Amino acid sequence: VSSVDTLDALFAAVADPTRRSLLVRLVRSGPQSATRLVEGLSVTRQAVVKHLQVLADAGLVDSQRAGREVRYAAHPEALTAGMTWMVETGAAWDRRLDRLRRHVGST
Amino acid sequence: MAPMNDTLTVETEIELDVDGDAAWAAVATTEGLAAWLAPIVALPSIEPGASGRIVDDEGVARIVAVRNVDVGHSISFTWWREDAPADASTVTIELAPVEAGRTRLRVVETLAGVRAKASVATGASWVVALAQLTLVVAAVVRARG
Repeated sequence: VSSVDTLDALFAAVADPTRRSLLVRLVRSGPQSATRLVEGLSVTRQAVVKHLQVLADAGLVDSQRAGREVRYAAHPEALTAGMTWMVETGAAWDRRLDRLRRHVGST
Repeated sequence: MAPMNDTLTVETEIELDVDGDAAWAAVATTEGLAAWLAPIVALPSIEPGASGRIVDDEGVARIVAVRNVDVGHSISFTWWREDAPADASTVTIELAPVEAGRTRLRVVETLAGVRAKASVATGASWVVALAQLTLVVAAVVRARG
């Protein structure tokens, strides 16, 4: 898998708000089962498993069987240098455009 | 390893509650840019070939070179951090009328020749990055070079 494909998969993975939410929860909580992850979300367990698979395909999550359940764990080290540049650049434009909006609103 | 011709693009847009003339004044004059792009905009003019220096709100200094100006519609410039001249990126800012008194502004920043270097984020910094990403990705599009 080339790094271009990897970056595409990463972007596809984090472009969805449910998947971003799942990722944040996994990073903060440590490994969890899909049953626990679905708590507080307005989607089905089946949908959560599907989202987790997309995250796994991007290398952001992996799964391990623990007894009768499958536990998912986040792998934040999958972020690449390119991803970091995009995040930083995007955040900078967020700040600038917020200032622009306030600037033109005040003239 | 990423090939040297990889291109990264960040794209975002907003709608402003002003007409095209006011929006143009904000993006195509040094005074306008200094109000939002960066506190220090040391450019003699906003016209093709003009170059200067910009210092942003975090104290990062960039050299900027204006490439194209389509009056009332778009400007584009190339800029690079003074401490990283190899990472020049190109920014295009486009304006389009939405309705009377409302203008859409679109920004595209492109980094070409992405260096193939591995980067491993720590868990802690990644959480911060993801928080920023949540604000950004809805408007971010990645394009291949």
